[in-house]
Amino acid sequence: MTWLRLSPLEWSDLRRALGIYATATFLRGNYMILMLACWMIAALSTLRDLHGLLRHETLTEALSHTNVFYVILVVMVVQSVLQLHTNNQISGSQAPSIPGLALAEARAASIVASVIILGLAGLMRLLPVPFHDALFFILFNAIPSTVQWYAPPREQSGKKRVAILLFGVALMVGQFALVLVSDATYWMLTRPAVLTIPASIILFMALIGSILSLPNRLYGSKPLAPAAHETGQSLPAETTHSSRARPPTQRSLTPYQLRQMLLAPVTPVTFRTDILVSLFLIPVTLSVFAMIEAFLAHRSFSSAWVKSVGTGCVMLVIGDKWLLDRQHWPLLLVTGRFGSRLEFVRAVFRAKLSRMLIITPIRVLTLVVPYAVLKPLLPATAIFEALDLIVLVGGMTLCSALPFVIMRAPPKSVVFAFNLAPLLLIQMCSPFLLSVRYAAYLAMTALVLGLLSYCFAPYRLSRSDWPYENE
Amino acid sequence: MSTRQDVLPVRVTDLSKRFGSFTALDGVSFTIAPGETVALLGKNGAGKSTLIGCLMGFLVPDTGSVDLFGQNVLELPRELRARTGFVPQTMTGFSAFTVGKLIDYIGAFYGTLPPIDPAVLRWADLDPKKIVKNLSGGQRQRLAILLAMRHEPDFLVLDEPVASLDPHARRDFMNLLGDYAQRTGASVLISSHILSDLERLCSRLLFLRQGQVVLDVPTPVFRATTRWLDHATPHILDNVPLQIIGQRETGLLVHGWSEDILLPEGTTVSVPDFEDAFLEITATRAS
Repeated sequence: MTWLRLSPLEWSDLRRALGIYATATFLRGNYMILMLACWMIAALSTLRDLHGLLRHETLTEALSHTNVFYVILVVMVVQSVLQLHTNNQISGSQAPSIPGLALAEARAASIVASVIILGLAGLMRLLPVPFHDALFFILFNAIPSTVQWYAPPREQSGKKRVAILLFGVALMVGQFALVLVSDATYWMLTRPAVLTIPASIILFMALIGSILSLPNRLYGSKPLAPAAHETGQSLPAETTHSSRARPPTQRSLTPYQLRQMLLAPVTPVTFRTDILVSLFLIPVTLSVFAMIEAFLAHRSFSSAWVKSVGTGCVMLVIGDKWLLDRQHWPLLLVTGRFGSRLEFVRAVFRAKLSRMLIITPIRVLTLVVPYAVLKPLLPATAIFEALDLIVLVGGMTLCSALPFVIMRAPPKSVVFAFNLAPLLLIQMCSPFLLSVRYAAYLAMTALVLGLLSYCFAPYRLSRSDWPYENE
Repeated sequence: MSTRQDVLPVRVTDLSKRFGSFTALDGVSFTIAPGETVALLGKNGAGKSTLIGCLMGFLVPDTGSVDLFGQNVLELPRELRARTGFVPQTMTGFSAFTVGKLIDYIGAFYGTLPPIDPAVLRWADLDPKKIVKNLSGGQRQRLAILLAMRHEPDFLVLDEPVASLDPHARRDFMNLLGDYAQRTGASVLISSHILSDLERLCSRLLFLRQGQVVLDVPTPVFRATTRWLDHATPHILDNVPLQIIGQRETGLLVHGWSEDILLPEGTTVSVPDFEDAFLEITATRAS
């Protein structure tokens, strides 16, 4: 507990670092805040529903009628927001030379993380759930974040950072599987204090320890980057890997990806890979989820598969941030392959639409066909639901461009939120979760808005600034 | 409390650093005395940035050590770290701060500071309300320099600080840096490719080639004793106490020359241009 014994100077560093969280600087530098706000609203609404249901239902029943998944998302996104802020603070080129800065920022992040975790657990106490169970539930769901906190900052990046981040993502997927397809939430919220209190202490210490160890990882064996005009010269490849001085375009695009994007300036994977992934991703993942659920809940494989279909809907759009990563646009434009700025943006939209028209039906069919067989559904209903879903996914994906129709230069946080909105909305509006008739209206609305974006956003985008800055 | 003059600000001893199979630094040793302004010279990939990384404690040496103010840099306590300043090649991070808030925020980590030197403030010419993200590359660099000099460090390290500055800002900065070093007695290590600036500003030149120090010499001595010997070949210098630091078809670049040295007949002596000398000294040699 040496971190609690602070000198007066360290206390004043800590106070200043904490103070940043209450300023516009924190909000300005954190493009995930808006998304956190969205998930927070969804989570609070879930908790309110749960609170209401618990008046006349048991916890098991109430949990099956609400989506506690949003609370888990909030736990994770809060940590991501803190990680982004801390990384902004300590990964600058001058930051390691400033005495006490990294430690103060890590301490501040650990305090804010603790307060938020206790606050979220306190909110869950309103359900009512015992505080120790609520705390255990929150901390358990923060495990992937604990791992990701341990990743070195971006500027010290490399294989270690990627490996840790991937491990964190794998944990997250495992956790989603547990929560979405099993009764793990109920299990976590009903454990005896004798189990949850020690477990919570361990998880809490792991999280705080991971955050506080951050300054130790600032110094490494990575070479300092050569100046921008020196890159790619006589240094061997391994010494030029540091991303610090590399322009953003190079950082985000490998030569392989560049080749693909010169053909179709959207998601940098080949069409063939996209089709292969689409064919297998959803059925395989849902089958794994179903097996876990079948094993844990002693349910049949088919009913478990049908139950996990909500997750499958989310996977239809997961990872689709085609308008968020625009750092390569200037590079692709100057190749001259696509013509003017407007023609280039139209090429991006055309490529996205054509890719989507082929990929979305494949993904939807890999979801609907097994669902229709296992549920079972009438063929006509299955076709209708599949059509709904295709239109909804297509419309929602194009709706990512809506901020550019509405605003001249939407902040990154707004674009980020709109790029992730399909995830939330597909989860909420999927025809599998609503009546077919209602879903059809939503799908049509998404389609109309999507077409509106398709028609008008390219012009606005061609007249706006493209990511060109150093950050 | 130690003062500026009582300990050697920098002592580098047999420093080596490898990245995989590439040797970035190989047995580098030197010291920097209080008040010295040292130019770190070398071509791309010579190891300048790696040396700076080790000097600042950002990189961990494989062998050897770096002592700042008598203390190993890897265990540098806060009060000694606060006596150093660092200007990177490009300033990244802190993009959401306003300039004014960032100066205050970073400055506070050094304790209570006197008001910023008006000359530095005038030179930086930054709007305190402007957000760092919206600054141009040159403005960011000026901000980085201001942040590094704000607390008047005793040892200032500058890694290509003027690459993104316009000629006015560059010239003014070099004057400012010279004044600063003279006024405070601080030690300065500067890496740059603007040779004329370095020759004018620095009291000592440290040439790196392929990770090794090939020449470490006071600037006036360099000027006085570095010469081209045309029509000379290495073997005719066997009995002459000169160090060959460069070679071209027509002759040799030597260090240690003086009027008293007797050279073989037919050898002509000329004063090298600083840039020519740099090119010769730092040129890659076959091992």
